[in-house]
Amino acid sequence: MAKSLQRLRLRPTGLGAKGIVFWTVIFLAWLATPYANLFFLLLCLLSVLAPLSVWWTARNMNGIGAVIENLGPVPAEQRGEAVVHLVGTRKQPALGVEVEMCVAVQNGGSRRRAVRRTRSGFTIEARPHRDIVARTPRLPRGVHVVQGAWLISSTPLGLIRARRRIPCPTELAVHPQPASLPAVRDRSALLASLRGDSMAASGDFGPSGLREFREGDEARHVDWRASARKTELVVREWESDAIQGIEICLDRRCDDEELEDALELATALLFVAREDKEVFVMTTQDHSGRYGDGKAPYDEALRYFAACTPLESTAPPPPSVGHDVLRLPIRKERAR
Amino acid sequence: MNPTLRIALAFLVLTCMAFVQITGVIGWHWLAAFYALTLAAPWLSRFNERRLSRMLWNGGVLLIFAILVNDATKTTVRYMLEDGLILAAFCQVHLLNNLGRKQSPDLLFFNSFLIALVTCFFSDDVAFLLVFLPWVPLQLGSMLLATLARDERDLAPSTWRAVVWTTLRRSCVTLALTAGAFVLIPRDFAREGLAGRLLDIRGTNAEVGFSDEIQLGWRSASRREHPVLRVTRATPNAPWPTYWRGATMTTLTGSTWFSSSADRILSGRLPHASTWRRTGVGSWTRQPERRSENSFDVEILDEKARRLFLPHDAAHFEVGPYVVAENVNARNDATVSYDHRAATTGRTRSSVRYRVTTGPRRSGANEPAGRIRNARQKRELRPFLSVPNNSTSLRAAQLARQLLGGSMRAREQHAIVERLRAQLAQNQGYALPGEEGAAEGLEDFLSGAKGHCEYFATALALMLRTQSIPCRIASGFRSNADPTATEIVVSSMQAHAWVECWDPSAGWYIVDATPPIADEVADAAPGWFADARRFLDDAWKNITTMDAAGRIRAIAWLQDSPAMLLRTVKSNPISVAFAILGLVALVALRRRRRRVPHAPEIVDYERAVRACGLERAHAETPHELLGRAESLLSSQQDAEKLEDLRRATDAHERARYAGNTGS
Repeated sequence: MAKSLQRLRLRPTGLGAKGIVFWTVIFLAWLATPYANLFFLLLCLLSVLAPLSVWWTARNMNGIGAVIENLGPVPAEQRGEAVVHLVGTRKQPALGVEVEMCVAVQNGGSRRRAVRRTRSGFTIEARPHRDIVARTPRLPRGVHVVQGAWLISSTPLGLIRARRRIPCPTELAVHPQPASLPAVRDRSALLASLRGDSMAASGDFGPSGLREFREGDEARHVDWRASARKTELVVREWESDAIQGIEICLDRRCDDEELEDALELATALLFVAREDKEVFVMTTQDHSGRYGDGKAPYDEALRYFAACTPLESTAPPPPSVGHDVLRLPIRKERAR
Repeated sequence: MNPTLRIALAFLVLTCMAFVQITGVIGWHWLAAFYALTLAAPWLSRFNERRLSRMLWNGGVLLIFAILVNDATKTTVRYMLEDGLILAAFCQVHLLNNLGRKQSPDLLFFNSFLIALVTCFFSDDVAFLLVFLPWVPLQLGSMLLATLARDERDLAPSTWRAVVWTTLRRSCVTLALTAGAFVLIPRDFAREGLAGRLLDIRGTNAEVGFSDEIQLGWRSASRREHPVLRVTRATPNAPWPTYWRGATMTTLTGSTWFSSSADRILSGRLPHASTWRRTGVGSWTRQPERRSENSFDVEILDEKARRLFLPHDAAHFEVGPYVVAENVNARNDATVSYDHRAATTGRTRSSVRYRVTTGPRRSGANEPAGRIRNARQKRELRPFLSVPNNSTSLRAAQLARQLLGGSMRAREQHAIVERLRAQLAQNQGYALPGEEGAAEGLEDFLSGAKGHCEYFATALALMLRTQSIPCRIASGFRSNADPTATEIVVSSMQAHAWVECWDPSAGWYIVDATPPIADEVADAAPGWFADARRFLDDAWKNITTMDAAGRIRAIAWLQDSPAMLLRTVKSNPISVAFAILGLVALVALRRRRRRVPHAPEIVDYERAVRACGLERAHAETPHELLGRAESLLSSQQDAEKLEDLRRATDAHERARYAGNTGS
């Protein structure tokens, strides 16, 4: 990130533009009426405020900048958060500072792009080496281009706005909003219910061995026969055919609505895996990834979800996966 | 809206109301309502979301607007300005009470400036300064708060301090730069304006100032002050004249006093009514046989003045080199007119200067008045005895009889004049048109309302005439100058009207029934408060009455300021040194307070490190430094310092990791 501060740009605000018109009217009135000392004094006061406003506003922003190091994926149609780290050499706080962000909305390859501009993170006293939280605009799912971010202030008089460009990532990934998941007692049951398995209740996998009972083990895993032979409780250790965690297979040969539903569900499952700090595995036509501790970060999956587009029905299918992998989108005939 | 911002705006609106109050255009009932609504704004604002509240407020605006439009159709531009001021004041109160959460108070700021601007058309005395000075920081502070107070959270105390301090500092800078711009920017002080005639606020409307015709019945008067005369002594220690005559008026028709040339000729024919006679190219005299006593040099500062103002006892006057003597018209009533425009055709304007010499004259008050000798005199005095044939004259006669009582009938003229004058001055109050209780006509005044000098003079003249005492009205200026002043500037606000009575044995003498006004009383009063007020008044007049010459003097003063400062430093080196030291100490104290305060444990630790003669190396922890100190300081003498360092290190560690630290 650039250490030096970007140049400050000054522009009249709405109040400043009105002030210019007001000054013009007063000046014309002064010209129209016979000379009067007090009228001229007030006109001087009004005239002096303009350059002073420029000077004070620039001075307020002198020596302070910011940097946005990371723009994490944000949910669609919600305002996400971005941490803005203030930098600079200023000793006194800058007053009335906020962050402006400008994002060009990607509309599925359409040439015409809408630009969303938002101001947030207003801070009364901004000091270097502190953080403020800005908010991104509401955007549809996709990977959008961040046209720029600025640190702005119109303090003290509100007549002039000072803007300083701040370094920030050039892309903002907007992932689908997570879908609501059914309330079941554990994750395996959840996955099974989503898969439509008759074995959803047990959520079992293949047994891999026996071990002594530990606190937290479920009673249903106790192998009573083995426990009767020993003097202590013994549990069956289960090992699934798939990896511990959540695994999905996304078939993108579907329409937009189905894909959106599938992505929302995938996002919800990703959040579950992230919360439990478990692996999330995703397989699709052109992508296969494992996300979690020691693997690729979860945000990459979210980024993929943000950029995901449907494929034609004639496209090749995704790679084959195990029977217990959740296949998305969930087709109604499969749930039968 | 943030509560803090609303309170700041309420104070701003209060200063706007103060501006409106000093204009005198709004009655107390309106003002009281506006003040009450402003003070109640923080409480009333909770209702601004309700439809009924909004309907009432908007209805109020429409009602006032309708009243003002109705009034405007019947009055002139001048009164439209007054009415607009009332509407602007109400709009301020309306905005304060009805601004929504997300609405910015932009209009309030603009309206505030407009109110200050319109006020300066009505009042430019020191009251304007006293309201203007707090208005500037309130305006700037409110604008600052509007940028900071975005939501409804209270501001932190540190933010409050920053807001107040920066606002005061910036207000001083703004005022200083404004004053500098006011002095340094060249402009035409006599500019008429592009639409001067159309928008003439002075032309057909009342303005306090000299006039050679008196019209009674103005509803209001502009108090915009400008300099008229500058007088310096040519004779050292000469007493300043009080009255400076410009015109006389003899005939009253309806509510207007005027003087015809026939009246002036008659004035000159009366015995002891010495008239001006030209004695040289630019000199006139009217008392050649009397010894001249005191001389004054007079400069006319008002380029629109068409008179040479002379003291009542002027015996001789001589015009300056730039005055065209042929344009001087010395009249039979001892006034002098001057056609300034004719003299300035094709030439740059030069101020009219002349020297006037006063001579001793009989005041007529201490000796019995003479009698009217014959029928011819009676005919000549008829214009000075005539009263209009209306109810006002009857009322004046009745009042005269009432004030004199039956026993006064047999007394001679001076006693009657003095009695009526004293009773009028004592019983009637003084008020300019438009002020509270001011008369709107002579009938009003005679019934007990307050009035200004023209009412007093008219009433006295009518009463005297009903008692067969010849008199006329004189207009000019009354100046109660400080005897120690080296020069006096007579301003338009000192315009005055008084009565001149005819004494057959002594001629015309002055009778002034107008009581001294509050300003004059204050000017004469002793004490530090009066002195401060006079100082402020004089300082403010330097701004409101500034002209081209004044601007040049101000620039010269600014240019001389560094030299003046140097002279002051040289003459008071010790005081200046103390002042500088005090300033440096103040700045150092402020800088020290600005630094983020360290916890006492850190301060103590650093002191202990310094005492050991060590310095913390880069990235060295306190314990590593302690280890280094233990290996370096092994002597018995350093044992105490080492112990101190150990203690300070432990305390520092506890404070930093086990408790709240300042950093």
